Amino acid sequence: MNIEDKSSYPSQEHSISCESFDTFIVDYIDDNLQDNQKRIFIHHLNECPACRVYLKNYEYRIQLSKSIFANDTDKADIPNQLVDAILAAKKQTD
Amino acid sequence: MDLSKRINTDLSEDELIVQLKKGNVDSFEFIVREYGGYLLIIAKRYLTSEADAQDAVQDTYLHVFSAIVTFEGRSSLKSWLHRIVINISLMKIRSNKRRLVELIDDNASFFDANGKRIETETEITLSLEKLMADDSQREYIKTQITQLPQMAKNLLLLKDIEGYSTKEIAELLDISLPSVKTGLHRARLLLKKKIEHQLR
Ligand SMILES: [Zn+2]
Repeated sequence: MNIEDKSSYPSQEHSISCESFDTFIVDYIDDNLQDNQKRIFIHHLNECPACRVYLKNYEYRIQLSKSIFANDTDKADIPNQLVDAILAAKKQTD
Repeated sequence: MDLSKRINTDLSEDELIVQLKKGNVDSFEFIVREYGGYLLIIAKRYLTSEADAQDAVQDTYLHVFSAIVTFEGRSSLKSWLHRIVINISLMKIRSNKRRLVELIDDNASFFDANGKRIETETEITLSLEKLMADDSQREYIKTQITQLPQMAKNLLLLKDIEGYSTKEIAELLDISLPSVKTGLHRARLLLKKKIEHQLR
């Protein structure tokens, strides 16, 4: 298909429902969509304000989940009793 | 212990791995002290009981002790340990025979008969920085994540927090790639339902 030829799309074959849009989201965010799938996805995004906001909020919450756990390993202490248990267990296998 | 013999942090990772492969006891103790706390926090994300998490960390090190000879250094030691502790934690969940919870699949309620989205959301305007600065908000959301049904929680942790690819997750959880993708999507929507009101 000639990409420049705008008249060839958007056409019926490029239209998907919001429900189908949903099934593409995981791969879209991971940039795992094939070119034609991506085109269909973006086309729906441009046409549908509801999915636009939906996607924006969806991505916001992913970022949020990441941020929430981002620093929780900073103060990482191992109890001495666990160190001793591990070293003792290792000795047994020696 | 003779402190002069202690492995110190100046040792390069390559040298450390050489020592570990030789079976050097001090280097083993070093990685227990250096990474043990970190691994314990990771294990606790998956296993709710402290005792189970400690067991997972201990099993991780015993595994590392025998598997270090096969370590090729394609990733850092820390991310290798990270993956092992997750594997072992997930195995514990399975061996506990805890049922993998079915995730909500009544997607139908979100769409009309033509597959059109029923509800139009408003955009979240609360800034992430502001939200992260609020301790009680942060704790609340964290609790909502850790209290999700086991499968939903695992998928969210592995993907959105630990950053594994959907392919890697399929291997780790021993489920199909399409199941990972649909499960992950549903897990995210489940979390949405739980925290939505907090984000307004
Ligand atoms: Zn839509």
